[in-house]
Amino acid sequence: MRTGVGSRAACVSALAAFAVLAFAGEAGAQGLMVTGYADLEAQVQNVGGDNDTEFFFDNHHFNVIAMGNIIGDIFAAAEVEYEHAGEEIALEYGYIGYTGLKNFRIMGGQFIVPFGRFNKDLHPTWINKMVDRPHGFRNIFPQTYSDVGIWLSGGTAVGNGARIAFDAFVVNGLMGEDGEDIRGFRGNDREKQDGGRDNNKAFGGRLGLELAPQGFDIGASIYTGNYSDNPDEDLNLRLFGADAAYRNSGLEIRAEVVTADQEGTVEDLTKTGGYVQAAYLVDSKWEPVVRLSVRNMPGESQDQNRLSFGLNYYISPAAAVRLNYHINNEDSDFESDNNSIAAMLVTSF
Amino acid sequence: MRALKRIVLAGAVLAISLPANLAAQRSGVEVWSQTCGNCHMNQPPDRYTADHWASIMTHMKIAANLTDDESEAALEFLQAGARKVAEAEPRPAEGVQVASSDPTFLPISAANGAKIYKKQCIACHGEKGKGDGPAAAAFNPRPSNLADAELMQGLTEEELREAVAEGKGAMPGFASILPPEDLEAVLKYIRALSAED
Repeated sequence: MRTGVGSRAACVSALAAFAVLAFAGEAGAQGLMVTGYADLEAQVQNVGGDNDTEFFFDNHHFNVIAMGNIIGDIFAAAEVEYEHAGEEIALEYGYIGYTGLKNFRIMGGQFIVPFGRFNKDLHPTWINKMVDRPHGFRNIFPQTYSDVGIWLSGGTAVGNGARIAFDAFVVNGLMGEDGEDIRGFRGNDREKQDGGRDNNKAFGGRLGLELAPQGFDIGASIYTGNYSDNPDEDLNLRLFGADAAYRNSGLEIRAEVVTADQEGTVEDLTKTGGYVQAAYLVDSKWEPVVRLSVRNMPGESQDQNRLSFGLNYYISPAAAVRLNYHINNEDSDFESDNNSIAAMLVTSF
Repeated sequence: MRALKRIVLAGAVLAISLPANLAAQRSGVEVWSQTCGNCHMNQPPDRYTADHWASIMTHMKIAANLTDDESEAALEFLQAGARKVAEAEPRPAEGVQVASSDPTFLPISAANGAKIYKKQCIACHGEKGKGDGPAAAAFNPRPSNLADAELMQGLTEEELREAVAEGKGAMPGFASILPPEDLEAVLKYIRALSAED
């Protein structure tokens, strides 16, 4: 998300304030800390194609997180993301939370919308097992999607290491023009609303079940809200997601699907995407990964699928080198041989 | 879609209303290996200070939907091995004997080692040391079979001490978790496991 000078100044000021608190002796005793993650990417695109092959470096992320138990049961966290070598700066989240209730937490502010596993948990590059996001999580679910509102989260043990996880949220919601790309609907803040016209809030949440000793978890997510930026239109956007994962002895298999039902004045649109991914960690160091991701959009010309092969080397539990080869099939203006190579050095700190 | 919303809503109400004590409590190391490792590589306890772990576990309680019991157990495990902050405590005068400040201090013995093993090691290595504890499935390679006489005879005392103290593979180093007396006691007990085999 691009931001103006004012927003950048706000982000930097917020970060500076947190940093001062974190390093000050008195506040440091509260457990405030500064952490984050950073990466360096190298991309070679259109491999095997004509003379249009591109090679570039990208400092895709340098994200700084400040968080801590402020006082009593009040917790605060903020992440400032510097993307593409500072070209894009935004507050990914900044919220305060109350954690004094048994197994139940209440947060207010800007937060990463708890929908699915990739948006909620897996997208940070030091966690994501591949350099890029899978298809379906750009133009169908607009990952990374943060919004402003109220978030309730919690977990309840149900026996033998099993746990039900639940999240619910009410937020300003995605907003844009009739039938347009969902990715452009993010950032529905006061500035975009031009005075706060949008009274239609979006609702949703995720319900999951984790069988920890068996290494298995599943979940379902929903989002619903009026997305039209025209006050005279009532156009609903409904997103539905389902996810599942299995882990055992270094093997991890994940799958996630997302569907968007987007109402329009001319026609309703249905968009579907998702991925299946398998990874195998060997000796806590090497990890081959394979991922198939697809997206089906209205009209065949925007359908895409990608088969990706990756190899991760973990320098430490916090740092990795990733190497990916993508076989891309895009039924749009691209040639079918626009395969790509991506490499990344990433660390959390 | 309306039906789905109802299912999710009903599930959320059910989840909130379930009694928390219905569950068997997982140990901190089980939560660390099974649930933290569900998203990312398990971070060693000595990566952060105890205060930092407190903040991180609150963050994870929110973001990863941990129960209060799970986050408290994981926090206890992580803080026990947390990176120590340099303290400006005065050193005792030469020749003055200082009693161990650790209330768990017990003589170096296999019996004491058994107690420490049960608390710190059993989740991964299992009751008999066979590498088949409840948290073992999260790792590759699996935790070592400490009851394997051939494997253990191939390890010198120094090699075994180094592995336990400094950590090996996904196993964190216990030199920062256990006082030296307890480390020696648990080493004795580990040796006894293969002798029983």
